[in-house]
Amino acid sequence: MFKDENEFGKIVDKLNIDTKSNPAHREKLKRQMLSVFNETSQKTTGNSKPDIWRIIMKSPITKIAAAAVIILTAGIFLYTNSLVPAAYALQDTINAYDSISSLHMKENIIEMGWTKDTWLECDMYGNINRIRFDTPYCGELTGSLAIVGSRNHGEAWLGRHNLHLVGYGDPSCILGFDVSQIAPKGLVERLYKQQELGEIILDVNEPREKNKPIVVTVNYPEGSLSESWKKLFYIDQATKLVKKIDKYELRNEQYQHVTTTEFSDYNQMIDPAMFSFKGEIPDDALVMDVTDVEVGLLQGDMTDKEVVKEITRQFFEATIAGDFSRAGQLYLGAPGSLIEQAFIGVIPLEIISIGPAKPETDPDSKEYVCSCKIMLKLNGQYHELDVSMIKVSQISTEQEPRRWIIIGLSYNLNPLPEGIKISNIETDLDAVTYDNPQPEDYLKKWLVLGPLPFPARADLYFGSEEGQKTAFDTDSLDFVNFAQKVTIDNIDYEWAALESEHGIVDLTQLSQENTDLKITYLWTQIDMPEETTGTLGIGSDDGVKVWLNGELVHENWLYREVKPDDDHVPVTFRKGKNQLVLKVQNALGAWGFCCRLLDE
Amino acid sequence: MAGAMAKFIEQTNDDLVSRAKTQANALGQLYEIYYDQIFRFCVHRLFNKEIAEDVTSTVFLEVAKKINSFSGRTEKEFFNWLYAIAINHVNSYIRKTSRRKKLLEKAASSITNTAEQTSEPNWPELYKAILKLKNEYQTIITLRFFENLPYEKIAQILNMNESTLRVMVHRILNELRNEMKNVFEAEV
Repeated sequence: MFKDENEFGKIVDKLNIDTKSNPAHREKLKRQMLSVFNETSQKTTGNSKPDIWRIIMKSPITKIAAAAVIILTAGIFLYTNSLVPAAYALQDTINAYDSISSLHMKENIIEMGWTKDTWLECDMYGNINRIRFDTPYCGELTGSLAIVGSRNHGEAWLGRHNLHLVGYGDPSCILGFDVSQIAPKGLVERLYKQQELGEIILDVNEPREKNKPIVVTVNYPEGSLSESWKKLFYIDQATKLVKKIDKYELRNEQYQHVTTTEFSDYNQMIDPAMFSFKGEIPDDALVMDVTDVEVGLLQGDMTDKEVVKEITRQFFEATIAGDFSRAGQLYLGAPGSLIEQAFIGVIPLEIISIGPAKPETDPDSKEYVCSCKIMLKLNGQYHELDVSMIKVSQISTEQEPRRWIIIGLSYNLNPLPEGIKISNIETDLDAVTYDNPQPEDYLKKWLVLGPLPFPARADLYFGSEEGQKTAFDTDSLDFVNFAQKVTIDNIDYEWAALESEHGIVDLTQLSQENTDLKITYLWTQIDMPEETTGTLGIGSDDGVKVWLNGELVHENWLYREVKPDDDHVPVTFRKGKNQLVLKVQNALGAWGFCCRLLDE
Repeated sequence: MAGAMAKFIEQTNDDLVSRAKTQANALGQLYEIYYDQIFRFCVHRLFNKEIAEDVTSTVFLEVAKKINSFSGRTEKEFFNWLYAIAINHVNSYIRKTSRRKKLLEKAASSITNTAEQTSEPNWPELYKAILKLKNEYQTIITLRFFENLPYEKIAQILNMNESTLRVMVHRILNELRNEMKNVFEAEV
């Protein structure tokens, strides 16, 4: 095979293809061409139709040569005729677009009641050289959106945010789809290929009346991804150009009209100012240059479904870590501040589940949809964010291998379902023993003691900061030898078994009562095959203390929200069973913790 | 001096382009300059000399019909325009499925493969893989490797950025490599 351009060049050179021309053809064609030229010139200067015969015979060519021209002319006539089908074929429309350099598209999203306008300038392949895209609404987060761009340059204007984004490469990055796919020539060429491959069923209705459009109905075979869709192309009989496309989707056994796209102003001069924001954007707009921002996620070796799940995971991990710039890169390449705005008052904590990822059924879509559940905190309470649809799209820029971006999401916010189970039946250490736990897996099984009141102190108001600190510092348990029953401040307590669904353990669920100013101890046993050094990642709301085999290895006295791995605690586990005990103390409101081994 | 001479030659041919809009002999001269090049391009895209002659004919007949409304003035613009017409006609020919199959059959028998090493793909395999590419990619491959045109000229013909073109060539070769691998595997 070949490794690079040079090697491929060598292979081609070795093919030694015979391209030597035939002098007879060369001569014949020249005469034919000049005849046509003379004929055309005379037509355009208003002269009468030239007598080709006379021109040929006047030239110093033998009669034999003249006869050859006649034969060739007949040949070309036949050849040209063979290109013209008797009835309409998609090929006619594809050919008609060879002469189209500009047009205007208006897409009406029927259900939403809003429209998208696109102006295009194309090259002879139907590839887009310049584009302008305008929509009054592009989702709650974005608002109105205008984009101008060429093949290598794009900029966006978000009116609601008074934000002007410059320095995008291919406008595909902002639009979330391959712009080269939206020009009508490309659409029809794709139909042509799909027809060849048997991916669609075409029905052409060519009315006798020349003033009515040819209607090409596109259906998708039963069992195919887009089987519930139907598209109607309306083609002008005079020009063979697409005037309109209607899209329908079968819902509840009835076709519902989803979009209408109208194509107009073919080859009408588009004012170059349309492809620029000059004079359009207020002087006080915030300009952000995203030239150096790496938009989206590279596919690498991942399959489509894997990359869709991965970008979803990375987006929510970034929001959990508060890295909104990174989240923005993955979400349309948007500035971090836009994403941060969407999360104001909300603290995303943990990914509960991701997936599955499925391709969109819309035949024109290259998008995938993925679902995801996130645990978050809102108004001091834990909630489940059910992100039912994350739209992920592949962007094909010419500069790079395949990249994917998130282009939108929709969600519901629900109270967090009961996340922990408490049992008083199996409360021995065996029930909460981890055998060589794997890094990154949260420890979700514990024995729990509490909620416990702060230790009684006659000289101190327990709710004061000093009272809370004193409670934090005071411990009266044996952290080496586990005892099922303990007595603290003359009150008997018993350990219970706790199992959490989530990595972040919601301790407010330990009691129906208010859990402000309370303490709990959590005990687990870790069985290691050999002595192991590692790091514990701990998050807590609020203060936390950690004992390993009776030794206090970490303490952090503060008020905070639970965030995974806020504290990194270096530890050495001995071979065999290790006793790990946490104390988590609450001030007010939410109360919880998370703990796992880190891979470091 | 060399630079000055080059400029002089260029100016002469620019003049030819202007005159070709109204004078048959000037158009004839342009034809003589470019016939071989366009014919060769057609052979490389269609791989059948008979068909290439037919398509070359339609290209120059269109030039004859449209030269008086051609807005360019320089030889460079004429060159780009001429190639654009040739590319369109070739693509239009190849689009027909039946013709594509016919091309494959003819290519398999009519072109001599002189590749020396047996590990290298033979001509029908390479052509099969090339025909699976998008028309635009086929054109780029032909102009770059069969016509040996520099990137700058191809970019002008196709009206695209030169650096974009370089990246595209890289991607097309990757695609071609994968296609050929599939052909090999399918045949094994």
